[in-house]
Amino acid sequence: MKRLSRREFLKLAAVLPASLAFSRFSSRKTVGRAERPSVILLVLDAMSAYHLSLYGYGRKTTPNFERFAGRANIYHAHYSTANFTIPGTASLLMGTYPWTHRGLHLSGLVKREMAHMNLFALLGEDYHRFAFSQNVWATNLLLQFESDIDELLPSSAFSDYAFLVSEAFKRDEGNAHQVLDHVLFDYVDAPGLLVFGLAQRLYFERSRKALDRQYPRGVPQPRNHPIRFKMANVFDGLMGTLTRLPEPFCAYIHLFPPHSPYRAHRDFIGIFDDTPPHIEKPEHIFSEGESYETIEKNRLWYDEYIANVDFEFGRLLDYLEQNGVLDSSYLIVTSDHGELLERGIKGHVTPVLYEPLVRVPLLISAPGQQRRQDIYSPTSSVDLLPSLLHVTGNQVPDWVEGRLLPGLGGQEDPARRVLMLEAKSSSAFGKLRQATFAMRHGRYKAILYRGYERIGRDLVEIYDLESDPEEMHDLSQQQSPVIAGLTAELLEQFEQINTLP
Amino acid sequence: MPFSKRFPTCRQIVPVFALTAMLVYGWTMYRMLEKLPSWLLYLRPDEIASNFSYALVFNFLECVVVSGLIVLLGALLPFRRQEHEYFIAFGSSLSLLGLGYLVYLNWQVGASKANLFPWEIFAWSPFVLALILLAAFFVPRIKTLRLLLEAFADRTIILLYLFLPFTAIGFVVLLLNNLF
Repeated sequence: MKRLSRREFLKLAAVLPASLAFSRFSSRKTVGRAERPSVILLVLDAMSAYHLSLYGYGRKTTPNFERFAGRANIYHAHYSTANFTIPGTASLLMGTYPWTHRGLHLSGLVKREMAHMNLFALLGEDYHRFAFSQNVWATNLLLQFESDIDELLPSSAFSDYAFLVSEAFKRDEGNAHQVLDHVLFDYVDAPGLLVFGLAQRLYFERSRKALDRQYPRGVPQPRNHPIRFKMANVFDGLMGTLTRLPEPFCAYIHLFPPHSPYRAHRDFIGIFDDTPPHIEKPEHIFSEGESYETIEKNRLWYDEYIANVDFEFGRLLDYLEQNGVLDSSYLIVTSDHGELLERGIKGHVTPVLYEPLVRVPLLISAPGQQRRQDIYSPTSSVDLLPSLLHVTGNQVPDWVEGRLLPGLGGQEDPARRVLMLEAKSSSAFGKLRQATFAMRHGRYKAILYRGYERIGRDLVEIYDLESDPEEMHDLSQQQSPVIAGLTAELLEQFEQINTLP
Repeated sequence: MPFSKRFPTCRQIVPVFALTAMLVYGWTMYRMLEKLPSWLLYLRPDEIASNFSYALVFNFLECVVVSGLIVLLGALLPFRRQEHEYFIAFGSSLSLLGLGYLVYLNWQVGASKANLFPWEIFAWSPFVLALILLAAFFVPRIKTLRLLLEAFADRTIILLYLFLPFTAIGFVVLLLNNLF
């Protein structure tokens, strides 16, 4: 073998530092499996598809989503399985409906024996599995999957001020979270600690008063937890995080905005003041008695908050594009549920399942995708897990209740039946005695209210979403074979799902 | 009287600590038991035990802080030498009234709407606390009340036989959960 001369050695020695420096900046860290695509799953809590200009809303709330749509698959009839975080998020991460995973309650968890049937576990150790949720209830759920996640950030990450006691108990965060943050230092109800709990609450409320002038309606924070954050800081933090994760990675990011309280940055306040008011809908039997004026005010605040989220998303999109992340990653943007601002109802803690509450955005950009594809067939959040497993080269287990999304291995099926449930008042382990169950089948949507004292009997509503997208004209009393068939199908479906797990 | 001599004896502190513990532990157990039905469905017995461990340990710390404050106030307030025996009645009334007031405040906070903290009830706090302190200072001077308070505080000591061993177990559970 030829030996290196002194001159050759010096040449090599001169090149070595430069090549080392170059390698540090030129390529992102990998764990040797970079041929598999990374996945960024961005969940924006309580973002209703109904309020996005991307889907035709009157106010220009989402110019950056529309820009992203130019290189993504847009799902126009995508439904969450429920109208609040726990069941919606669990379905998204587990590919099963709420009656199967049983995460039915506001601060509930999924069935213990199903805790390993989640996206992170199924992707396996080939992926660097990262999770971050600003919604503490979703973090609680993620803690159930903790053993399948490589990196789980606390809800307070990237925030300006947080008081989550459980973070001091890293090795026992799940239990600490349950008892400290939810009971002893309760931020919603009376604190469980007579002295420390009240002292902490006073400290938190006092600091709340020192509101940042950038946020005239208050600095954004999760509704029930004292985590205060500036949206720009959170997105900056995410940019840094997403470019440091070893590839291939699966990053589940669950951001609290635009969930209430709607607290847009001052730059977005007043941007829609000249928009004509929304159609006034009749009060529902489950109306909370909110006046039309109150609802309109909240609708405006919500829309402004969405515009704020959209702006930050635009910055994130630019950053990911510039850093080449989207060349090797799927970027999925969706929500765990929607929001309702009509019929005397404000928010999503309600038994109803109208479109603004359950129809959520879904945009998926494949690595390097440059073309827009619009998909109009009904799809469900349970479809995400099998689709992601499919595109990452993993097997889809038999127990998964979703199917492959069109554009990700599946076919468009306009007659697809998609189901939704609200059953927070029913036992998580017994039969559903009080529930709202909805079914989107083709152009129709049928809703069943069962077990509500306020109604006193089964109530069915049926809407033709093609001719009546605002769900104003209930067809359930019409005498027609189609309506009768839908009613029978709805009741039969409910009986099928309402079996003991 | 030298300042060090103004502190109560251990025999005097224990009944006050016991009464404080009754209120502090009692409130937390009341709030915890509200959650228990859902925990029974969602959590394993060891997880529920762990939750109670946190509560017991935090309660013990609260009792130490509150009792310490009462002892300090007892030493600072101008009790005369012959009133030295008043500490149990003083501490007990202060504990009962002070923690009772905290129960009221906690209830009000719990009943308030999200993001609408009831600051108005806290505006009266300095006045109410001064009144409580004044009452605790003068109550021991009424013999019947003093005897009643002493007897009551003395009987609450029995609860310490329950609280303290369970807290010790809770502390061990908490340590094990967080170390291993």
